[in-house]
Amino acid sequence: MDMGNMAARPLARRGRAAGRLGRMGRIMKVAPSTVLFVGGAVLLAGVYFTVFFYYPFVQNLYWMFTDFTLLSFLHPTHWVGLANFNTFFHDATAHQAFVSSFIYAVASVPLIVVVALALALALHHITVGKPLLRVLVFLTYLMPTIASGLVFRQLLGQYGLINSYVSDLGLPRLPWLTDALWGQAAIVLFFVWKNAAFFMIILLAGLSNMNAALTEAASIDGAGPIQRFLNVTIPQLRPALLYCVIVSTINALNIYPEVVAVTQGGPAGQTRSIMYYMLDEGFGMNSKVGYASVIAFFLFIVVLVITLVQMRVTRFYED
Amino acid sequence: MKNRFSLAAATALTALGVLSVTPANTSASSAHAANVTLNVVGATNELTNATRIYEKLYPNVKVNIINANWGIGGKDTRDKELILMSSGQSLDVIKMVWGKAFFRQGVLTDLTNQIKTWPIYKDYTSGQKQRITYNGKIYGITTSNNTIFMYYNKAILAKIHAQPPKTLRDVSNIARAIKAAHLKTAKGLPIFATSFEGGNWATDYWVWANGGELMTPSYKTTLIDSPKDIAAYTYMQDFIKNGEAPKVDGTYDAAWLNGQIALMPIGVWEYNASVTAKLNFGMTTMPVGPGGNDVSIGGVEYGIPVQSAHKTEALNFLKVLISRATDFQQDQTGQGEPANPALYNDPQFRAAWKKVGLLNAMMVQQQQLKHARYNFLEAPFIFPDGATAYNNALSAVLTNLANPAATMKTAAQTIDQGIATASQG
Repeated sequence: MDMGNMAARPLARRGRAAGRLGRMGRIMKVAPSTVLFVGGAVLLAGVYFTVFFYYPFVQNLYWMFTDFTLLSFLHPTHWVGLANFNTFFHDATAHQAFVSSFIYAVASVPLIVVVALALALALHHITVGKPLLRVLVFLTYLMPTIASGLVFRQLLGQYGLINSYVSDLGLPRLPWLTDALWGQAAIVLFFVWKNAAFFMIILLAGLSNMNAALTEAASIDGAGPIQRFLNVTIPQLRPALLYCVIVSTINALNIYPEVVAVTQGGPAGQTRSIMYYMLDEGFGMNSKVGYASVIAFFLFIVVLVITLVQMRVTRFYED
Repeated sequence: MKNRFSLAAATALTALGVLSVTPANTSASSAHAANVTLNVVGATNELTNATRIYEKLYPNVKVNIINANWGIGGKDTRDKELILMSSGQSLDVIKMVWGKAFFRQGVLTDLTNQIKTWPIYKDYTSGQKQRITYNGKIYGITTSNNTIFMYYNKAILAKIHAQPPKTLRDVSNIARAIKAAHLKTAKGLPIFATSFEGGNWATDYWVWANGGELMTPSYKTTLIDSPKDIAAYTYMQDFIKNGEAPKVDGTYDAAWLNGQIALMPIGVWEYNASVTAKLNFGMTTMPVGPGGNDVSIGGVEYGIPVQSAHKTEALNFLKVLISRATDFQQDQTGQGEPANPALYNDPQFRAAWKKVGLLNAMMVQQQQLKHARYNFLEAPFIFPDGATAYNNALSAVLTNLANPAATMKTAAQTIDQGIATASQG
């Protein structure tokens, strides 16, 4: 047995592997270890997205055409063709839930952007206690949605704290939880309160990355604060602002825990969002997963179209 | 390079070690070797005592408690059970309030021959037996049975010189007296006679007390649009329209704890909050109306899925779950109501309740349990959407003040159609 050759073989194998990576690295002009790291990260990301996004999406596409329920381990699943689609097109409750979701998006997105921008500007210019204030404001985003929503519900009750102040001012108590429109307003308010802090962080980062020389130049040229804000700050914040608008729109269209916590879809189911209705159909006592898959698909299409339109109109990728 | 490799190797080995030791689910088992593992789905704090007692009696069986949050109406627990079963996990005992629906769908084992021979079955009230029976067959046991009963604010009743109501007429008289006296709390909030918060589980008392019924005995048709039921919904709505009850807004017991409600139909779970709110209150059974004073029977059921590979062991676990020993352990901390109604008379149980301040509340509940029955529209087992249709209609009547006859007629049509369709399938 030639011990010298045996000892040399592992080294030779390592040499060949290093050689392949080395060749890739030379082609890409990066070190082999970088190739290994990036390749590994891409592979992990690919596995993650496949398992948690692409596979469920394909599964959803299949279930849309079946009568699959959560009890299908006991009863066979049948192909039903377009029956679930037919049900969806005639389901007035689903249509009303879609309308509610649109109302939440249209009402909450401008408010979120305005509130987040105001908070970001305030925190950007404050010189004392900035880190502490940032944490305190961001705590609203970190609080569990259901727990904080239940507190909101108690505050907004007919004889809750908010109405006690309203009543003290001599005004009639507001029907936050007993009227459909006011209920939707309550959900929008809670959604804005809960999510504005997240977008504040995005805008704060944008403000920190601004070119101070431009602001100074505008100031020297005699521009007032409002002119500087509109003509210097906003254009530089445009990418961050667009991101906030697009992501908050997607979130608002998918609104769910806020509805559960504040109104539970009431009164009489009039404040249900489409996500609320979809989860009720899919995981409620009926567990009509096949039908819920159709609702999920249409929600996906709606969100996709709206997002693409937003990006196109605002020329998002040109930035 | 060598250091990085060593660090990576050490991390991987540590992770492997942790993974091999950490159990996948919460378990209250002891350290001895077991031949059988029983998978039980429920709340850990409700099952720990029973598990400890069971594993002592059956050392060859290890109980694996799969903790499940309850959620709204048990939704989270039900979702977890279905997802576990549909992914192939074998469950041996599961917690439900949807036992009838599961039994009808073939999920649960028929336990009629076994449970009917157990001593507790003779002691179960008629409401408890209704909970665990479907088409004459028994699919499980029921525990933690509770009801609403009448909490009354002594301070408010004293102001109008009224006694705790015994009949529905007394309730109406109290309502008129409060309104005539223009009573307000110390903070200037209006005072009401009663409240209809709590969903249909709480409001069905008012329908039954007024002589109405929710379903026909066969559960094939709803009666929520019948003249007596409409009269009951109108009775409730008139309270709200006259300012004798607040609109239902989902804030549940807030008005009661504010001292705004004279007569609050709610359960033993409200006792501690009422004491903390420093209310001067008493408790009694619900007032009697033309239809009696039946309320919905609360509680949960435990059954054995047909897929269980350890039905004998699971049955023994159910026996332990409803045993006196388990109930006593639970009730020492005021956590639960005894499964066996006969235990309400047990001196040791009474002493334990007295220690945590719950004796009076439990004695009232004992009386009310004799007048408690199964509520179909809380967990309808033929057409599940019926609960949503009914609750939305109830909300429309008690919040939006919609016309009761028209609203309930629409809901009844939806429910009847749904039941008819589901019965064919």
